[in-house]
Amino acid sequence: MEISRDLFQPIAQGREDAEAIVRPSTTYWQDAWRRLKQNKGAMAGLVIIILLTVMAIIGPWISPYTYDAQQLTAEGTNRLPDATHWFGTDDLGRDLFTRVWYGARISLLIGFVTALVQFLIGVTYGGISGYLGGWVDEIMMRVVEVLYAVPFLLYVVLLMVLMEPGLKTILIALGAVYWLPIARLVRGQVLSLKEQEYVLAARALGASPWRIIFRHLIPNSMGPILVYTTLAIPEAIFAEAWLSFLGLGVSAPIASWGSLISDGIASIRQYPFQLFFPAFFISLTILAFNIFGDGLRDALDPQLRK
Amino acid sequence: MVRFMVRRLAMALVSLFFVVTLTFFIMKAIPGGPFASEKSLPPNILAAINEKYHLNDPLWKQYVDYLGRTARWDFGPSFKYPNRTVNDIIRDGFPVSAAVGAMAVGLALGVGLLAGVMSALKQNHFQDYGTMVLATLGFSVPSFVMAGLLQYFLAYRWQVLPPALWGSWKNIVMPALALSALPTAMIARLMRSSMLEVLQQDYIKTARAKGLSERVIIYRHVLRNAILPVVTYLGPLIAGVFTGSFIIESIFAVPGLGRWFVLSIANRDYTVIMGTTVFYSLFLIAMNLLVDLAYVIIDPRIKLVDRKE
Repeated sequence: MEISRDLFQPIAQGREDAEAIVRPSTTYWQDAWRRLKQNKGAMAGLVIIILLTVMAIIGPWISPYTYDAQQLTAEGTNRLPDATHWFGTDDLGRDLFTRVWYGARISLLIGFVTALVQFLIGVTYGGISGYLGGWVDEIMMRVVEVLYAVPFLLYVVLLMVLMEPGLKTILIALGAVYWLPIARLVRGQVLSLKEQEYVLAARALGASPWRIIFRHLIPNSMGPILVYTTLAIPEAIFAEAWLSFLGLGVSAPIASWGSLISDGIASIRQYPFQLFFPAFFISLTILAFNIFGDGLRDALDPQLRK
Repeated sequence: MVRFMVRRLAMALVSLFFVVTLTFFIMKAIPGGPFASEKSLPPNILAAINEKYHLNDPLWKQYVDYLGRTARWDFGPSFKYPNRTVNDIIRDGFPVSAAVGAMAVGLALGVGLLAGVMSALKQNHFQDYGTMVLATLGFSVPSFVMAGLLQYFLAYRWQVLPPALWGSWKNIVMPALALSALPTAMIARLMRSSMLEVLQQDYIKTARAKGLSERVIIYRHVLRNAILPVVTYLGPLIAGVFTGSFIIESIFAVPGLGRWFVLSIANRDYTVIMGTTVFYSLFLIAMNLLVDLAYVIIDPRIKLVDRKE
């Protein structure tokens, strides 16, 4: 087929809008969200997390029982799951459905709050260390390295013994010990970013170090930080469960998944269902956070952008 | 290389010093001592006990004494079980923990590496999906839940293994299995992703172009390069297996160091807590040093030098 000139015609276009960007621009976060939505596993994880959170909020509330109401009769204790007690009852006749969702509140609260604490401490520490550099960085990173040589959980345990037992202590102890990896991560990011031109520009305009760190450097390294924080949530839930085993977790009658599992293992021989429900939900939660975190990593990684 | 090792050792010593110091002062800050609990002792006896364990000395003297004794690897007697020293406890408990830990790490390495390699070689086949689903599950089930399930099925339902205690090789199996679930999953995932990365490298193409057999390519070129992330993971893994074993040892009533640690916290047994903490930290530091050395052996291109960013 012959292509002749008269097959073409110029598009009527004014000079003035030749520079206009026709399509709406996609920001980094919109782009990431679009890619995250395409990842089925990650979305499934997100849906499970939302469902679990919703159940943690309304679960104890829709149940006719309270988490600490005991029923010390022969047929009230250690009941198998049935229509009245959906997950059965424990050795004090407390309704396990209520306790599992009440425990979900505590465990998820611990997960979210400690992740937030780690995030705040780690980002501040790593940001300052990386941006200031020099001997400040040297000292701050030596401190991190020394703390790294300490088995984390040992120090959580020591802190727990030192402070009054209770939920607040668990939150502080876990947050205070687990921020190290985030600090390292942030420092690395800041170190590589601070040589960029926009930082120079900001400095030339007279921005304070504080402003440069928190308005320029941190937002630009948010991707990996966010991924790490997401993955820190299941780790904190896990650590709390661990503390419950040592008898340093939340104290009775308050329940967490960890304390429920700990009780469940004690009576596993006679009543395995008492272990099953909390164990199932803690595993499901950790699974959901892990696949969501993996998906988030893929979505936020600039190298994987097409 | 030598300079690097010296530097690392010096760092390790500084770390250890801080661990010892931190532990000492945290222990001192904790209200209530080992003798303050339960029934109250007559004041003169309490005074005598405090005198015997030097609890009346000024804090700095206790600290200096403790540093000196730690340097000589002498952690003193247990407060709760006065006829045993902390050194005895470590000597008895560590081999038990090490046996469980070694089997768990061995299992994790064997199964995890195999699964990861297979998964990478059969990428996007059902073997790959199957392994990765299993790995994700292994990643999500906490070790103590695994321990409970194993105990229920293997010991109570099918009665193939003893539920707890220590004595024969059978007692090692369940704790080791429970401990190895997570690292197995982790190693499988690590190995898979690093294999996939290495398989795309140009030198693999070169090896194929030279006409090397697939076997030689995999064994000599791919595996050797792909295993490095797993080696990095081994240091923290070994430490993790040993700290994680606290609970596993409690569940299976294994008389290892972890159980002693748990007991000593309940008993406020200062010397045992400090001794085991220092021991674990030392262990962790040593493992990380070993990992650095293993790096050089596996990948001769890596030169250990002072890093200057």
